Amino acid sequence: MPVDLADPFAREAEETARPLRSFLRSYFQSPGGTFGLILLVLIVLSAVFAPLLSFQNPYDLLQLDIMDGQLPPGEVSAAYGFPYLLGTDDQGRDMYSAILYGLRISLGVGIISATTAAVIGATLGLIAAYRGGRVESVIMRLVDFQLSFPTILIALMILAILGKGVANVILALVLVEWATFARTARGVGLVESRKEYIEASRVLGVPAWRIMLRHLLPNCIPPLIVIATVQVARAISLEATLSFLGVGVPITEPSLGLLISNGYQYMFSGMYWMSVFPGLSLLVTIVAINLVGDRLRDVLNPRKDT
Amino acid sequence: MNLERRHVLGGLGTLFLPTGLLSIAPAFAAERDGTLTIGMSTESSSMDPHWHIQTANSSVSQHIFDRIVHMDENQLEVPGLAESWRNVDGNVWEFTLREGATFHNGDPVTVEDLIFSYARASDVPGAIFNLRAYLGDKTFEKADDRTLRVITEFANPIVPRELATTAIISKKVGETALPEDYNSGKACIGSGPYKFSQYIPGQVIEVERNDAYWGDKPDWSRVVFRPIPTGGSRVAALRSGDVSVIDSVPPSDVEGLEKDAGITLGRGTANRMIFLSFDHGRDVSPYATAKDGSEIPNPFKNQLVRDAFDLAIDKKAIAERILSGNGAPAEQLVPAGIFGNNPDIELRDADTARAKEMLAEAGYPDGFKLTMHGPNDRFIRDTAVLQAAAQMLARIGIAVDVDAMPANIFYKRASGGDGGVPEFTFFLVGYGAATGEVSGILRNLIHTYDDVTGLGSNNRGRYSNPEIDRLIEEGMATVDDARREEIYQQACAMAVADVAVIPLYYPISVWGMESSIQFAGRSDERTLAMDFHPAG
Repeated sequence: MPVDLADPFAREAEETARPLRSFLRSYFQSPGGTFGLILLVLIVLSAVFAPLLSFQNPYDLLQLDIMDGQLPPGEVSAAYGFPYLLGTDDQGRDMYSAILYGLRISLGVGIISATTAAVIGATLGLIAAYRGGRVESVIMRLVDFQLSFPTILIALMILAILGKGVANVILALVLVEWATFARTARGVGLVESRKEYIEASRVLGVPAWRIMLRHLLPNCIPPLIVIATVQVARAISLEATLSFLGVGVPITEPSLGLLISNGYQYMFSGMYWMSVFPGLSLLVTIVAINLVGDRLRDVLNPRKDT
Repeated sequence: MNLERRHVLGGLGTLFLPTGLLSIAPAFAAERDGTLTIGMSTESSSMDPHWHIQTANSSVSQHIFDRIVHMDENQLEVPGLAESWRNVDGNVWEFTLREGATFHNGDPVTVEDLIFSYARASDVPGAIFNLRAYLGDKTFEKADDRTLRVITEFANPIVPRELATTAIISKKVGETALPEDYNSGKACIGSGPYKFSQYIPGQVIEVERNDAYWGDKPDWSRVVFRPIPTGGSRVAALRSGDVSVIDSVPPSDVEGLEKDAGITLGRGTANRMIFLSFDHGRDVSPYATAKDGSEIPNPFKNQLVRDAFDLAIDKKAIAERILSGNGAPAEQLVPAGIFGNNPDIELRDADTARAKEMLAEAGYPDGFKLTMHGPNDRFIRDTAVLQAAAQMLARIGIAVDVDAMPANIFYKRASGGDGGVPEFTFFLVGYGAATGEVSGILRNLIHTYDDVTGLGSNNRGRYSNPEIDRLIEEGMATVDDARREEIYQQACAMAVADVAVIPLYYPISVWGMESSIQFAGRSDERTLAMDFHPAG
């Protein structure tokens, strides 16, 4: 059925009938958002299939050879015969493979930490919004307290106590990110919980957990998705910062940040490839995520039509 | 054109600098009587001169505090607060105090101050490394107002060298002072060429010229030390003119800086050995386990395993590929040319196949799991060296994890703190003898750990061989130089045959500076403003 999008009634009907299709239709109206999404899908795919796409497992010390170290892009491995497309670092690690594996860590850390933080933060935020009173005060003061410290500082402190490791980095990122979600969820939750349908459920005697889970949460999701996208990008750059500073992931399993940090030592000796390529990958990843996040914000904004 | 390029590169570097440095405005080229800004790879861990004896601390403390004997750039003894000294007989030495030397608060330096300093240096609360190793065998007494008499238990040929390790502090100020009071500057009063001005941990140490100094007045009225642990940032800071001098130029930048017209390099082969140390002491060592993580007896108690490790690690490749010529592969405890070097010890070629066989003979045909520890900001390219060694050990079947951490955390854990047990199983450390010859490394690193005498104070692996101990003690009491050297050479050969440690390399220190500055290089790796001179 052809739909005349200029006709507000037809459009509303379409939105009610097929929400996903309508959502996608409006998403792809922006070339920037489309480009970002395609880029992001490619990046995620190459991270997921890194073992298939790479020549070497850069985390397996047995496959590295320092005699192959510091080779410029295009040199061929003496021991294994494959070309080092983007050169090697000082340990003889193929930069191309290392970037693919590094992307895995960076994306994995970003997505897992942002999702966990979203679940924790949204739950607390909605409880605060729905319950109000003392519960709200306690939760929101905790949020204020958390947000009053620079995130990098808190993350550094947590890692100084817990030590290095991917799991610890994720934990640190969750601990610094949940507050943003809680604040947003509470804001949206407050607006929603004053609306008639919530009142109605209350009057009908629906239990509080059910109202929150089945009615409040679904209506608060769109802004949370937008925040989550931005937070994934933030988590990735925070992880890169922590690894650059030497407190993130172990040195034998470098993420993008650690690759940049290692290569940075060679910046002035002309071996640009060791830090420039991981740096570019990090940049492109974050730009792609932000493009998607921007577009999502535009599309999911309930006030976009008015 | 060249100038512009430097600015662009410097600007690029600033992007990567730790945030603490961004606020500091660039200094101008160093001039006589101006400020000299030095970018240091390692930060001094305390302003207390007796708290932790490592190069960065000694460098800074030597500006503020004198010793009674100083070491010149080739580690030869020159007069310090003592204008002369003599060996009265075997175990009695007399040092004549210089007239006119005063502390920064105006008090004259007296023999009482010397005696107090030596007593305190042996017993500083919470010290990382106490100086008992150099002072433990000595009693100090006042012969007259200008003469310090030093009596050693046994004949000791290197008393002046040993006393050159210990900074002289004021008794009046020091009696009640804790290490914290030195950090705040309250007690940081010495008799050296510079006076304490400011210390902000992690950011800056500043000293001012002491115009009442007894010796040669240094050329700079003010010296600023800035810790810049990242090699690239340090080079960027030098190129952009933020600092005038940097220490330990990263190997990767040596070539580039040599071509830069505005910058000169100074070199000195360091009397220091970087090595891998084993846990010899514990029956079960926490970081060596079976591959499934279950507990196994400490494998490093077995000589075959240590030998296999020594053979597996290709020191030549590390020196060539990782250090790019900024280090010479090490076959023993001290480099050639230093007293005690044994010319008969040869550098072994790495042999992975043989190492694997030996590991199998020792009962580990499938290897085991091991975590290597090391500092990540102490030695040139330390994390890269750790990873390269891990790579080579992986080839003989060891599953290696590498855990590198900032040096101030690493050393606390590696030494085990106050009377504790050293934590690590297999770790990267270095030793440079402050006395400038082999006996320091033998006594402090190879000799059995002894809390009472202070011997073995750096023996974090708790290596112990009574036969070598006997030789070391014999050497320590032998005044005849030729005989002593023979004894020490024999002890070195035995320690190397035992694979007490795996010597990796002797670093070659490289300093970078503005081309207008002149500098001759030093073998003790210290960076002293007094050694740098403006042109003309």
